[in-house]
Amino acid sequence: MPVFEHLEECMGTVFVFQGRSSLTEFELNAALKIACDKLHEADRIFSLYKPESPLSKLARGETSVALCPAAVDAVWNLCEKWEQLTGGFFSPFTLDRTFDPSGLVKTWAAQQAIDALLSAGVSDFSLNSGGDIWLSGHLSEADDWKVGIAKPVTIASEDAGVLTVVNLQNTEFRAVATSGSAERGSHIWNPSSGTMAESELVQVTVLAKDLVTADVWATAAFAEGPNSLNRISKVDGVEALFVFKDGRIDGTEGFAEVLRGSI
Amino acid sequence: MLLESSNLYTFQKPIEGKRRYRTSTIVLSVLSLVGAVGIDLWLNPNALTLLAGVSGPTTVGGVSSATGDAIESGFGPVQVKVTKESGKITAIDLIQAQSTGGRDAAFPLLVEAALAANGSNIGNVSQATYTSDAFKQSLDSALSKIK
Repeated sequence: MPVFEHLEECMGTVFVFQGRSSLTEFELNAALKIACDKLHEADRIFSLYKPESPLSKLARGETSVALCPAAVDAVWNLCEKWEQLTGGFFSPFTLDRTFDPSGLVKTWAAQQAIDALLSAGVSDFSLNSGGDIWLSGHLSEADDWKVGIAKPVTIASEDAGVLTVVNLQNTEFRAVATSGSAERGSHIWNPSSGTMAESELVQVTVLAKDLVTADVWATAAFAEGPNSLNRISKVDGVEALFVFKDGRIDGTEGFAEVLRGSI
Repeated sequence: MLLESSNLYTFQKPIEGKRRYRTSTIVLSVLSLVGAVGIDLWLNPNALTLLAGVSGPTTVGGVSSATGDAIESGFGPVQVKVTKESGKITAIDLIQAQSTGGRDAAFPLLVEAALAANGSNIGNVSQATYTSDAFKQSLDSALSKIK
């Protein structure tokens, strides 16, 4: 089947679709266009960098959720669900109680894009949404099941490279998300203390069955710090790998199991 | 490793003539894998010392190998044997790995998993969200290296 790759710049980062499809070039381009439109639509609605976005207006108190596009209400509800599931460590509310779902919108929109491609008949592909990886269940290339986990340094650095590699073939996991301070410095709040998440951690990588779950838990774990290991260990279908600032690592037993399966 | 980049130009034509992009990710993957071989360098700062001041390195026909001291990784002791060929690390073997199982065994597992994937084309690398600028910067740097 013909190989395709498409890069889309959106939300200040880059989304990479890679895979194989038997669609014609015309059909595939049309499907990718629909998928990428989902990303841009989410950006238009949720970006707090765009002063005229519904979310910016909401933050300034110029509108209400009821007057915003339906997606705002859907994401709001989703955020509340995740806040509860993560013991409050994933929070869409800033200190002054404005709604900032940025931590979830990227992968939420990525999931919409994935669904659009799937319903267009493209099923053998992966999506890298700015460092969070999703794999379809139908990857025909053995290598595509392998996902590298970056060293906790920026990809622009000379030292950039992978820390390890997980092979997700024959596992229940389809998503790998990483949170950390390597790319954009401290940018994750600890909702319980109201300060920037500063812990011994430099990076957390989470495996889950879907992208949003992986993303949210990675963010929550980084915000909570090493104690989140116990919390995540009790969650079904979610595994984590922690990298400490001093180079130590820790992780859930399930993550070690996936590594064993990758050897 | 960089020889693999010759595959770049034999890949099927990507859509919209975005050949450069296919090229880019392959280059990035290849570079990433080069990085994988040096995994313990970052993971354990002591490993730098390990490589620099190893005990009794042996050299046979340009291939040298050295066994480091067992290092407390914070996750069980790990000892590695580093093989270099013409100054390039070609293998890292685990001599001693914690065998208590469970989480304690994770450190050696990381290295082994990375080495197991050595030489394959990894399509994706998970990392903290990068900016478009960092992405382009890494792309330019990777491309300049293979020119």
